[in-house]
Amino acid sequence: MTVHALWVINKAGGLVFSRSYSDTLPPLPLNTILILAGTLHGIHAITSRLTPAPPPGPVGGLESFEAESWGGRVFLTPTGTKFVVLHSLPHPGLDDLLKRIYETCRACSTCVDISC
Amino acid sequence: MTIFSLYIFDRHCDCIYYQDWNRTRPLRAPSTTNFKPGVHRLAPAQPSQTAGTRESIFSSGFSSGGIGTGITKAGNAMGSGAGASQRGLPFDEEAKLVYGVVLSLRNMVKKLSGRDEPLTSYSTPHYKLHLYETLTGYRFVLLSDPSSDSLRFVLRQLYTGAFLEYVVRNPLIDMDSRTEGIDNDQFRSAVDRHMKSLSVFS
Repeated sequence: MTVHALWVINKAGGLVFSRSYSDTLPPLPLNTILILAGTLHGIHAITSRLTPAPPPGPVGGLESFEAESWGGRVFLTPTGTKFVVLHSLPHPGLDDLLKRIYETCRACSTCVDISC
Repeated sequence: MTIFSLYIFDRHCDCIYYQDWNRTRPLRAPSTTNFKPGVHRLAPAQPSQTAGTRESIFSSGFSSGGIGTGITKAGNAMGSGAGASQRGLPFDEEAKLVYGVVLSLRNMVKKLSGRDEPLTSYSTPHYKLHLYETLTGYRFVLLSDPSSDSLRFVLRQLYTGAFLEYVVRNPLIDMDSRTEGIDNDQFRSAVDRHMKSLSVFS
């Protein structure tokens, strides 16, 4: 149960916060992370279009993805900001963690500055 | 718990096989210009309706116009909400989207982990996509209910069972043709039997 990294992506797909918390995943240049965050933003939009049996109402996009030894979880706020956590597998309680990160971010002045 | 659809892509990025179960938003058949035989058994677009024919000519004309128009079209469909998305995409466009998503996520996972680590699945609130890649470059993609566990073993079973038996060992199938799929009656019914025997199906 380790959190490898946290990204915050704004509603336009730009990376506004990124921090690594373990050295399991190799450190990447910030430019690469910016590109990957943009890619994730695009993937999120496409995955909702692929829903094979959509319920009435709005259809959600990418929520989590898994590689063999680690995974990622995406939390979309009502305003369109995405919080992404990269974590080891299995990792219970990620939804609560993401919600708490969001609440902390809302409460602090950082979020007012980046207007999420 | 249910299973929605199965795609098989070859190393040329072409979809060579498609089958679906329990989809409430059915796919439309591709326009005649983009039709590739031996991949799916969707009912062909009905030529008797003049409106339908006109629409398909119109849309194929647009899609040849370049990437720019494609993006605008997708953007419009996304903006117009759930009403438009209920209609379903043409088969060829959906297959390209599935392949694109899988490829980009796979590259992202590779870059982040710094080694050749495969993507196994991703999920949204409404479905879960499982991926199994063979060493020969075939990619098996299965869409299932979001609550199901990993179904990669099912895809592996399909590869080592039905795929080897009815496709690789079938002399009538051209494995590397880029103009035709691998569809045949035995393979389709074997896949169907295998899926329906799973506990996650139903």
